[in-house]
Parts: sequence; structure tokens; C-alpha cells
Amino acid sequence: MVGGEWAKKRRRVLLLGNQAIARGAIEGGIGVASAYPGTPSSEIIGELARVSRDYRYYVEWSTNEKVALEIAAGAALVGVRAIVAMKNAGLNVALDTFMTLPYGGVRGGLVIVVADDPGAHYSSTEQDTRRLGAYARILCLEPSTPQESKDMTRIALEISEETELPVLLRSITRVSHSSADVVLGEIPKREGALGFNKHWGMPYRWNVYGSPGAVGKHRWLEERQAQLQQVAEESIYNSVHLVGASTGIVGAGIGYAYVLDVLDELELNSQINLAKVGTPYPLPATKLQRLLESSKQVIVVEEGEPFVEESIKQLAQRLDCRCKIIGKGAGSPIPLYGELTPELVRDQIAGILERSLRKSTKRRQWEKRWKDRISSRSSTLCPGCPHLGAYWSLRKALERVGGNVPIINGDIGCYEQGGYGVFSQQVTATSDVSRMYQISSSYEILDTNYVMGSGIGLSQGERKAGYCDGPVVAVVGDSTFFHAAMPAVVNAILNDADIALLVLDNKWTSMTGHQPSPVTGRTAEGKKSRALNIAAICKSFGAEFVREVDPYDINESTIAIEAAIRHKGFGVVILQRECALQRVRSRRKETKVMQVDEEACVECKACLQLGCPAIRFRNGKVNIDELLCVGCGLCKRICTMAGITDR
Amino acid sequence: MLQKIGVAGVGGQGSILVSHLLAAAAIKASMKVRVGETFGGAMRGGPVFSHVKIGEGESPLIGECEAELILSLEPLEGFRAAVRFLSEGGWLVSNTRPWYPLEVNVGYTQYPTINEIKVAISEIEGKCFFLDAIDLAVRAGNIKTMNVVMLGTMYSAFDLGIDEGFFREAIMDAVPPSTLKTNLKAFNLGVQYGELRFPKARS
Repeated sequence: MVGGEWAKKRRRVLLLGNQAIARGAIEGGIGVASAYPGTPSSEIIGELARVSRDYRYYVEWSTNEKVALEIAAGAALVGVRAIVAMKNAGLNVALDTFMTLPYGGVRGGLVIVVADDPGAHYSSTEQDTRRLGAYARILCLEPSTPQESKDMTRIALEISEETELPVLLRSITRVSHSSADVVLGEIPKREGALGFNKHWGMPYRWNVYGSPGAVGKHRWLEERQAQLQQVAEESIYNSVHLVGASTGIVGAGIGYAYVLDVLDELELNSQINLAKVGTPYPLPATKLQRLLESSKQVIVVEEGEPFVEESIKQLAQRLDCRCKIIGKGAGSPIPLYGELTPELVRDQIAGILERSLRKSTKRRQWEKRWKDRISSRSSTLCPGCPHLGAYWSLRKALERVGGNVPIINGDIGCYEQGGYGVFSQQVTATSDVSRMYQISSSYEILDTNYVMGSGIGLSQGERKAGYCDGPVVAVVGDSTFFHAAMPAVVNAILNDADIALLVLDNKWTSMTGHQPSPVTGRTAEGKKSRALNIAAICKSFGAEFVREVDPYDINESTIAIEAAIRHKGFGVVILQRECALQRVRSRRKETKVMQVDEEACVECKACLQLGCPAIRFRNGKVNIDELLCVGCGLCKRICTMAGITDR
Repeated sequence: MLQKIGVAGVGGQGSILVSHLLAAAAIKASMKVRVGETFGGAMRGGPVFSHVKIGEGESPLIGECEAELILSLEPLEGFRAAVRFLSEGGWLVSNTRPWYPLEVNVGYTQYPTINEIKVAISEIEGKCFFLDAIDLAVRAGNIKTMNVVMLGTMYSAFDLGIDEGFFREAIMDAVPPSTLKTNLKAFNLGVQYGELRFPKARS
């Protein structure tokens, strides 16, 4: 990423939204930073780790988001400012701590950054975590640009200390992963406030159960809401500009940026009462009241759920105001799912103000005419990915175990692509119980997939319910094993579930950008550290069947997986081989590549089913792209005619 | 002066570096900049499209049919982006060598021909040219600098209102020092190619 130019002391630089948040944290004087990788939030701690030697703060990748939040909270309890970052699903993992911490609050400022993902570019859901900010009764800030991301992070730390509560900064993909010119601020000297007082400002301040107890602390939290309301009223990120029009528009977060662009395009700037909301919770009621009382109708533009819209409707009702509030959902061109786009915002505003829609019929017809000529391009596992070997071996093992309907429970990570169903676009769904669908490639192999670590619990439930129509297998990665899977593994050992667990250990947390996992042996800053051993851990838990194999060795892997499936009880196979991308990056010399002997090739297409993107079927023959191939040799091992060799 | 530029490619080709180099150069030229993109497809072989807005606009996305230029490192991705984002009369400038998707590799879908792409673009009064940027990158010394070749061609073929020196500075800031010479050579070869072949493209 261009823009890591802080050392060059330029004032105005290109920063990614997440880099800007990292810079804001440093300008805000943090002493501790923690996170678990989660797109689109990973670059925040990634950047803090990259520049940490120039500043004095502690930074780490934690085992999961709950632990990360607790580390940041621990710092805040002893008076040091901290930042923790996560994706939308990560907040679900940290929710226990997130909900309870406000019962007593913090001493050092704590900013909790959560990056939502409208459009689910990288996530399992489009959940809107602003609701969780309100649920926890803490201030929520929502930036609309990278500049605001930086400034709001710094200000969040100040506000957090003043109000003695954590502050939620809710970012989204289109802010976190957008780049813009950002003006940098000064970096303060961090003042020491380090210390611990168990009765700081309140008896048993940091102990929910200590007197005045949970209800007493809840009351304290409710009393703080007035202070949060005051912060919202005074915040420069909430504004209202009245022009005496009958229509008003409220833009929250990035919604405001889209609104500005549309108003420019439609030349409506002087004809709309415009409001900006940067604190979706609590809303700046006084400023919005002025808007509601001077407009006949108000359009609310926001990314995610109609959260601000609902709050404004409540406000209008409280004020007994007749203003019509228009948002998303039924009757609007903006649906309740999917992300905001300039087109959707334009269509809504243009529709209400009776301006024409942009796209002509001619254009729409043109797009329709050509769209079938634009081949889809699925993301794939990389050339040489160890998961290609693992999934091939799993398929072969299932074939050997025979017939029946297996259930393969997947998980989150690069290997989740085993469930992307690239070639299953023509599936006819039926309601037959236990129907076997053909597995034609590595991309059709996962049957269930929800969240981190879920596959192992699901597997046990399937078996304990009596499922016996076929093998039940769970697949998990090395990072996920520690993040979420361990309690489920313990459970499986204790209840002796007849399931097989495949741990795809590629030595890194790969999908999110190759952060170190507990098996890597590196810290966030790249220093050497301890590397944990998954096989040893499973054995220490009491697992009786534990095997370690190399997924490049198809024979060894297939035998081990078959044995784990046949083993009555809990069987673990750890398939260990470093991620191919990392290997290629660290290699100094040219790698060998594979080639196909065209005369030997009988077009059985077995190699195509491997799923490697370097293998092509063109003009009736298989061919290997020498620019993509990394020479792992998997195709060579599965070729039925021994027709693939080193070049 | 161009203000809305899309940069398309396949994850792994380095199109994101192009969008960031363009944006960084614009900032050095004291312009306001917005770049919108997602990094999911990057590295896993999926489509990558970056929206670059120079000088105006608050949001990071270019609206449909609004891109004045789509610079593409790969023909199919250029086509995909153009059908959605290219304005009437806009330019599609693409590298000529395909990077086949898995679907095409296994015979599930077909790859469009260059001719089809040209015909399609002409139907919205758009203009299209293809260049073998890989050949130029190989001449510069490293096939991976194809993206920087394309950046150079874009600079010389179009009026971006940004001095060449700012692009060089941006490259110097961004690339590993050991690759700097090769990258600058790739940029130069791209610039020369643009000057030679498409002087009329400057709008």
C-alpha cells in the first residue's frame, strides 16, 4: 500500500481508511493495540504493527476478538489508552465482554473499532453493528471518509476518557478499504496515568458483582447517557444546514458522501435542507429537531439497516412532528440488503424530487445484450495451495469409505472456498432427505458453513441426533482451531462423537492477509516467538486418534482421512504444509513448473477436478500455465496416465 | 482532464498498486482524491476493480456509466468493468493477454474475443485500444511490472493534469528499492508507447 509515508513527515498523504484509523490511534496516544484479523478491519492493527518501532505502544494479534477486547480493556483499566479492531462477526465473538464492560466503564480511553461489510464482500452477514453500540449503551461514531476515520479515532479516545465509557467506531468496507488524501495531525507526548484503583470513582468499579452490584452499575450507565447525548449535540460531525426547502436529507456516515455527490450532479444544493449524522447513537436530537420542524419530508440515507431512520422516526413522534420520514425498504429503490451505491442514492433522491433516472433504455438494452459474453471469474484456491491436496484426499477417502451421504462441515478461511460451489450454478434443489450431490471439484465439497469453529459442534449434533447415512467430517484451519474450535474439540472428546476432524494447517492466518497464527512462531511485529503444536494439544486433551500428514502427499493423506472416518469415535487428521503464497514469496530462486505430455494425455480431466487455476483445458488437451504454476506436483500425482512431469 | 478512472484486473496482477500510484501522484499534484475498491478478489484470482476519482467527488465510488477511462490489465476484466461503468464515448485501454478464469479453463464458460469487446464498446460510441504490456514489461526486465507499464501508457495517452515527475515520485515511494530501476524502466516504456501509438487519445 502506498501511503506509509509517515516517516517522511509529509502532511498530506494517501491513506487507506484503515491506515487512517491506525494513524488516528497514534495521534490519540494509545499504549496498547490488539485485534484478530478480520476483513475489512485487518489493516488497522497491521499498520500499527508495521510502524510500531517508531512509537511506543504494545501491539499484538490476539487469539480471538474476545481476548483482543479484554487486552485493550485491561490497558484501559490501568489508565492507558487502547484500541481494539475487528470485523462485524468479530464483535459477535467479543459480545460478552462488549456488553458488560460498560457496567463500570473505563479509565484510560478505549476505542472499539468494528468494520461492517455491507454487500458482504468478505463476510457471512451484512449485520449492522451500530445496533450493538446502542445495545451496549455506548457512543457510536460513524466516519464518512478516511480523513474522518482518522480524526474520529483520535477524538473517540478523548471522549472515552471524559465519559469513562468505551466508544464504538463503526466503519464499513467502503471507508476502511477506500483511500483518500488525508491531512496528518500532531503526535502527542503520552502522559502517564498508569495505576490501579479498585474503587476508582465508584466502589468495586471494575467488578460487576461488587456493590452496588449489576443493577447499581446499570443505573450508573443509564445516568451517563445524558453526557453522551451532550457529546452528540456538540459534535462537529453532526450538522444541519437549512435553506428553507420543503425537503430535507439526512446522510449518516458514508451516506452523507453519496448524498453530496448526488446533490452536485442534480444541481440541488440550494434546494435541500441537508443534515449530517456522525453519531448514529445517540442522535443529535436538537440539531435534527430543527430539520424535522422545517421540512415536510426528510430522506434518510445510511449504509446498513434503517437504524438512523428508525431513531429519527422515534424522534419525530416524540416531537409530535408531521414531517414524513423516507428511508429504505418497501417502497424505496434502496433495499434492506446489499450496499449503497451512487445509483441507488441517486434513484431515490431523483425519484422523490421528480428528476430523471440516469440510465437510458438504450444503455440497459446494451448491457443485457452483452452480459452473457462476460464470463464469470470465481476466486479460487491458489496454484499449489495445500488445501487442493487436502480436498482431493478427502474426496478419495469418501469414495473408498463408500456410497452414502456424507456431511462435510466447513469453516472460515481460504478453505471456505471449498463451499463456493463454482460449478454448481445449475443445481436443482430438492426436498429429498439425505440426497447425495455429485462432488465434481474442490469447490463443491463443503456442505455446511457458518462461522469460526462451527463445523465441529455441528458435526457432533448431527451424530448425536442419530445421523448414520454417511461419514460426518469437520474441516478447520490452524488459526480457527485456536480462535474458536478448541472448546468444541474438548466437547467431542468428552462425548466421544463419531466424527473426523481435518485440521488444514497452512501455518498462517492466510485469507485475511497472512497474519501469524499461534502455530506460525512470529509476533505481529515479525519477531520470533513460540509456535504451538496442534497435534500435541489434541493428544493432551485426550484424543486417541491423531495423525499428522502432508497434504501434498495424496496417498498418505487419503489413507489417514479414511482411517479417521472409519475410527469409531473422534479422529483428528492434521494436514500440514505451509501456504503456497507464503512459500513463493520467501523463495529466492526460480521454481520448477509442471508440464503436460500431450501424447500421454487422454483427456480424463482428473487434473481439472483438482481445482488448480493453473490447469487449463484448451483445444481438446490439458495445458499448464507456466506463469501461474508453482511446481507443487499435485497434478503430477493424480494424473492417471503419468503424463505430467517437471518441465 | 480526466476525473473518473476505473482500473481493472485479476487478483494478483497488481491493479491495486496502479490505482494507488495514480492517487498518490494526484495528491502530490495537490488534487483531492478518492479511491474505492475491495481486496477480496486480490490474490485469490477474482476480479478486481478500483474506482479512482480525481479532483471532485466525496464518495469513493464512480457511478455506473460514468467512468471516462477504464484501464485494464486484462481483457475480460476490462470488458466486465466497461459494460457496467464506461460512459458513452469513454475509453477502454487494456493489456491484450488474457488470464483465463477457472470456469473457462474447465470449459464451463467461454472467453470473449478481442473483436467482440471492440464491437461492444463501439456500440456505445466508446473507444478501445489494446496493447501488449507484458511484452514491454519483459523488456523492462520483469514481467510483474506490466501494471506499471500500463500506468505509463495512461499517463502519456491521456490528460490527467498531473506532472510525470509526480508519478515517478509515487513509484519511488511505493516499490521495494531493489525493484525501483526496473519499475521506472517499465513506466518509461509505457510512456513511450503511449506517446508513439496514441497521441490522439489525449482529451
